[in-house]
Amino acid sequence: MIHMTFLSRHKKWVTGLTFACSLATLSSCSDFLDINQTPNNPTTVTPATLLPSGLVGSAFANANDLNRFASVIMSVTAGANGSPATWDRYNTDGSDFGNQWRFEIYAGALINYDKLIEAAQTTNSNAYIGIAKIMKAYTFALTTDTWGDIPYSEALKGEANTQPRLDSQQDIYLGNSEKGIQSLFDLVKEGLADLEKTSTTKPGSDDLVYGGTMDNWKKAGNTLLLKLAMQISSVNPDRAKTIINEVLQGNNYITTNDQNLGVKFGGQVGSQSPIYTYTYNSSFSTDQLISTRFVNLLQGLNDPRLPIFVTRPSGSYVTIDNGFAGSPPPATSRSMFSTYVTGENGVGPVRLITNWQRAFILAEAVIRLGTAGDAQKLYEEGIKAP
Amino acid sequence: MKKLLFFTFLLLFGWTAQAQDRVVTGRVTSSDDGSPIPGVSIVVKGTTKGTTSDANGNYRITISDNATSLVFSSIGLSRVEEAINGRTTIDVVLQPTSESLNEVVVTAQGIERDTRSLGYATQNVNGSALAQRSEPNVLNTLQGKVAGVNITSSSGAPGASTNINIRGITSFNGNNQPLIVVDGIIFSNDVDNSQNTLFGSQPSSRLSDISPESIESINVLKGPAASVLYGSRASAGVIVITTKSGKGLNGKTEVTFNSSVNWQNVAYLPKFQNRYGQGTQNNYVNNSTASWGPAFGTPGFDNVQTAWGETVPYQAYPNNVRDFYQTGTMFQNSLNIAGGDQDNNFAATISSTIQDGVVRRSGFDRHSVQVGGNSKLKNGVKLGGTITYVKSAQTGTIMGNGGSAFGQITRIPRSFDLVGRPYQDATGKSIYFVNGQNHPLWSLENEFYKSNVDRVFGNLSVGYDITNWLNVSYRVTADTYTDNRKQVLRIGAARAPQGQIDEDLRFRSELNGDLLINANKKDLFVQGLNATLLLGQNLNQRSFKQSGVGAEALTIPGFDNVSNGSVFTSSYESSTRRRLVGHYGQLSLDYKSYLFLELSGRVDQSSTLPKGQNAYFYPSAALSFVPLEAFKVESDVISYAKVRGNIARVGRDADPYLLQSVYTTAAFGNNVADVTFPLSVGGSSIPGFQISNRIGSMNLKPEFVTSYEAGLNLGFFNNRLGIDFTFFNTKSTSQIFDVAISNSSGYDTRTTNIGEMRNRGIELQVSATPVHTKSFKWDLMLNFTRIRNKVISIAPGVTNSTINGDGFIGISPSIAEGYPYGVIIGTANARSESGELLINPNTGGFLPGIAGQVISNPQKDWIAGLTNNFSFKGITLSALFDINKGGQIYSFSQVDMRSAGQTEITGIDRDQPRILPGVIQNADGTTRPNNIQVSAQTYWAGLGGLASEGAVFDATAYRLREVSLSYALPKTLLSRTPFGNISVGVSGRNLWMFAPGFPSDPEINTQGAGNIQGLDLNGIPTTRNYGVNLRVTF
Repeated sequence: MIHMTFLSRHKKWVTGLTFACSLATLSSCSDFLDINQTPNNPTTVTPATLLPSGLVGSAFANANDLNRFASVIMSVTAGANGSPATWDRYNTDGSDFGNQWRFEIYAGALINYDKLIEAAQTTNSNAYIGIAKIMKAYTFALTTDTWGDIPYSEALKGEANTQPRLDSQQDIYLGNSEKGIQSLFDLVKEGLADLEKTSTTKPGSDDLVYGGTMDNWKKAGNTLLLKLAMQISSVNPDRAKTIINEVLQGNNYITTNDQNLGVKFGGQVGSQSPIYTYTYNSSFSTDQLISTRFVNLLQGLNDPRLPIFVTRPSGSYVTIDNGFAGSPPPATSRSMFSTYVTGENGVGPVRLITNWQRAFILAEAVIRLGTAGDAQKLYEEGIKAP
Repeated sequence: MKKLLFFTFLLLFGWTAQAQDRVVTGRVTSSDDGSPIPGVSIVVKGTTKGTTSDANGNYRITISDNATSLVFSSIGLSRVEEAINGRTTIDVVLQPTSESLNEVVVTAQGIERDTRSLGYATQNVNGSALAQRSEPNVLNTLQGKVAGVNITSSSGAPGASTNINIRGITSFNGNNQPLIVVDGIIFSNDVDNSQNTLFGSQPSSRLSDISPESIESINVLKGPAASVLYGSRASAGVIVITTKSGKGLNGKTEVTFNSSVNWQNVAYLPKFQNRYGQGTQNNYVNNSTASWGPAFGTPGFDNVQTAWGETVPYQAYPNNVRDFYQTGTMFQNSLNIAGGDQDNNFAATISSTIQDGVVRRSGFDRHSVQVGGNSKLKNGVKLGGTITYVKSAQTGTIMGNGGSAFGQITRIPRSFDLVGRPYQDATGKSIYFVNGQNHPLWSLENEFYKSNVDRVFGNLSVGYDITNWLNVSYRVTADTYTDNRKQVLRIGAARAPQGQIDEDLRFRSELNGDLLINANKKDLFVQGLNATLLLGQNLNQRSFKQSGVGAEALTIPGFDNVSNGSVFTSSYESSTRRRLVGHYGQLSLDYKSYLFLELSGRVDQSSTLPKGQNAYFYPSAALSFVPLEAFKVESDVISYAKVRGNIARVGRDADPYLLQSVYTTAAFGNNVADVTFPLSVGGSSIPGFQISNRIGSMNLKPEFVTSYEAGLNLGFFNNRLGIDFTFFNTKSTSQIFDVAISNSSGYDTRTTNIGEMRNRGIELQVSATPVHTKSFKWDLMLNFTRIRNKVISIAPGVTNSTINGDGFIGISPSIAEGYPYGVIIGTANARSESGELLINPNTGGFLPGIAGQVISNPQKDWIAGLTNNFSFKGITLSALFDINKGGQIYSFSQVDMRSAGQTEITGIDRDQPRILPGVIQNADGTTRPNNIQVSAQTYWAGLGGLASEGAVFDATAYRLREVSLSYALPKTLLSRTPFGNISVGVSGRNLWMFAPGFPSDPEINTQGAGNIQGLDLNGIPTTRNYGVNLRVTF
């Protein structure tokens, strides 16, 4: 009797307790806890969103700090302050371009090209695969040209290989079947072959270089072969000559300026070419200006391109020499890169492979490797092209 | 025959029983004021027969003839044994026990415990030690008062965040601040930074929503054993805050009114030199930020031309930096109404704090309303609840290096009249001599942020005693807030010349449901062994959402709305949600009140760990022994002794969403040039994503902290002297961490469990009452803490890694193997084999440094706080003096000022050549002392600038932290008035400070509360506060 009174008085309690206990059962627990899929980021994306990222990554690798550095070393610009001033004194080491290695190249452009190939393979979008392979080869070439022996065949495998071995520059360019290393030439050729296949989807506005004109990519790929060949021409002239002849035979390479492989940017803050940003916008823009040596060289040759490459805000060319240690001229009067180099308001393009580069390569190939063509004509074409 | 025997037996038994019954009654009152004490336990000694006193202190107990005495006891009162001696009425007076020992404290899950039964360290601070101290931030009021606790406020800005850490850092990446519980509600103390902490706005940590005046007491649970009932988040300790209620009022209703006015001034600015003015190399240069110009009074330099063509006298402005600051004010008012008794009570509080900071246009306002109560219904069900609404508003300017008022304030030449001349022209554009920077006063007006927080938190609990040994209760708590933030950089701001407006929204909520079943049994198996079993279930959900619109490239000046922008690429949205189900049990055994054993275990299942492997178990055991009680020793010298020890293990789950690898919006570049997708190219918007450079892991396991603790509590001379000593050793393993992997794998980091870190330390509390006469009392309390933290290992092949947070070029707060957590890695000076600095023989300056070295350790050697309280009749004087010894601070502000010749030492003997300390290496490898003379400018700048060892200073500080003097009007004066109590007082905070190794106050951390400490990168200096207060009850 006591028992019944207890229950009826505390009915709400008992039901409450039972409810609480039932929450403890395993099955409802696992539903309650199954909420760990992130709503903030996608886990799969389309090739159309990976292509522009890869292209911009390669453009930054070429045109950001490495360009700032190379311009100073080549005495096109001279350092007034900060890093460029130390570079002018050849004071540099491996940590200077860590950002490029990490975030612009490997964990930037290259891994995204691989992801692009993966994503495009699921939908048979061979156009994207082809572009990715060509750009991958370009970016790896840039990296090995800068750093020498680099991870290549074992790279980009994520958790499967967190410490990829270094491949020698020779193996990267020429290939090494024993070690399973594919040559850069073969990679480009694979890409070109992919471009020939049919593709379910093709790039459009996401193609920041050609806007979707696939023929231009084929030309660019072949011109890349010419560049890679010329790069090894001093150490392996035979191989270089074979490649160049193949390309000449195929006769499908860049011949006009509008076929240049250049990555286009935008005119607004946050979308601008890195050369524009570091020249005009960034807090580091006062670190460098045009070098006296560059201006002297072009003036001495009466080169009409000087006013197109370089600005004259005060009317005359205001420059400093490389290694200069005094007080640099005020920022507003300095000669800097003009809109030809940076693009109007930073639209670029960042030129990676150009028509005139092709002309110079072929001219040099005629003279040094004995390939077909009129060297003088090609040489003049290269000068007049831009 | 059997019947006869049985009947005789019955007769005998019945006769005995009848003859044994007797009734004893009486009343229990308090020795303080004679008022009755309800709830006192009265037990016939040697039996379990007992009763409790009622609301009027009366009791009635039936006893047998062979009962010898009655034992009267209650938590918080001294135990009294009264021999019965044939009396039928026994009245008893009970005394409260000495303050610091044998008190009742609120432990985990709101359970009140007698401290003698606790096998782990806790420390209780009464609310009266925190209120009326010229300090609106609760955490700051605890500084120096609790052993084992390290509290650092980040700056002198109103509402500045405060970092608190108990017993050292235990997690590489996780939150190392303790769990905060307010009236049973798990309370967020998050900061939720919306900007880069190096050069953005600094929001408050959310414990600043609680006013010190509303606090009844704070109990600090220091180690995992004390907090195992709270689960994973308590591995860094728990701070249990109880706000004022009507419980202790014994049926009365009381109204309390608190009011105070306080002033603040910027304190401990470095001393400046006032002999040389603007310029470099002894030349006057009108756009230089340095003070290496000619000496004042040099012939030919009576007047000079400024950068905008004016001719001004060349003279010193000794107070130019000090005048940039103003006197801040703080008004605090609160009204509290409470009434009731132990079972039925209510409390309501309204309070308001209005603070204007020492920097113009900065302030912190906080208004809150709280209502709560408890009730015991006729059927025995106990209900309790409280709800609070707080509205906090913080305004201020952005901080940090470069384009901000505080980036410029360290670069003011001694001859520049900072506040006396116009800082903007007729069009509102800043007039300043540095190209690309703004006048600091212009920045205060045009680069600011506002944060508006609306917060509601509350609890509701229902409990019922099913039987007298079984109690069930369920409690629901909620804490939710929304923070609306707006950061405005108007057109012309140095950081964003085209202007930038960021509207950020933060929403956070935490909901908990706790089921608690409590069973207790006296004399379990063995007489004298009392057992309590607690079983509990916790359901927890935490949600967080942040979203923001970032508008860049503004058009209309002064229109601070995001529609004024034309570029919106920095808009974002992100949310997290996590859930946890915990089941726990605790068995407490109490043998004759001298031997206590407590065993606990908890199983957590978390949504953030991989499905199927998301449960983890962790136990703890605590033992305490009170020898005097055990051996029934009476001594005049030792009045109390307890030995205790415990072992505990706590598991921690991961942050949400770490298990998958995801894609993010693509962005490229660095501080030289960068772009963020979507790009705007040729009139179209081009979206772009990239694979995140962190690889997620489907095998993630929880983190674990294992701790060992041993301690001793002693009381001497009737508890006039008390000592509490603890030694602890904690080991953190299986840290969830993004380990760096070779970037050529295509990624930067991989999330996995690695690493081991250790904390070892001692805590000592000494409390004493040296003088205690009828009218005068002096008591003191000393707290001492010494913690040694060491990172034992990180990951295979990894010897150091950067701590998550915003970095600065060349200096990285890091974890480094073999070093304490949070050391700063930067460029160390080149040294010879014997440790001397190496000098370049051509220039006389230091040789280029070596990057990637540990240059600073922010962890302190030891902390001590001494509080002295004097009370004489109605006057109470209290003073807290504390010492933070050791630790280093990396200060960009100080080297900025030193390299620029602003500080006092750079002005001494400036015309004399100097020699940098160090040696020059000879060709044969030996060294010779440096003898190359350089100018003062080269010397002071040559000592080192950004990223170098030269910016590291010793952060030791001796401080008179707070003083308060109050006078309570005598009760005889008030007996005819409606007032029960009136007291007036004055108080001051941070009144005196001495830092032997630092030119200013080292207690500053520009990164705010969090895992990165010990960095001063141009923040707001600390302040000295003082004020008057009034307290009235009626």
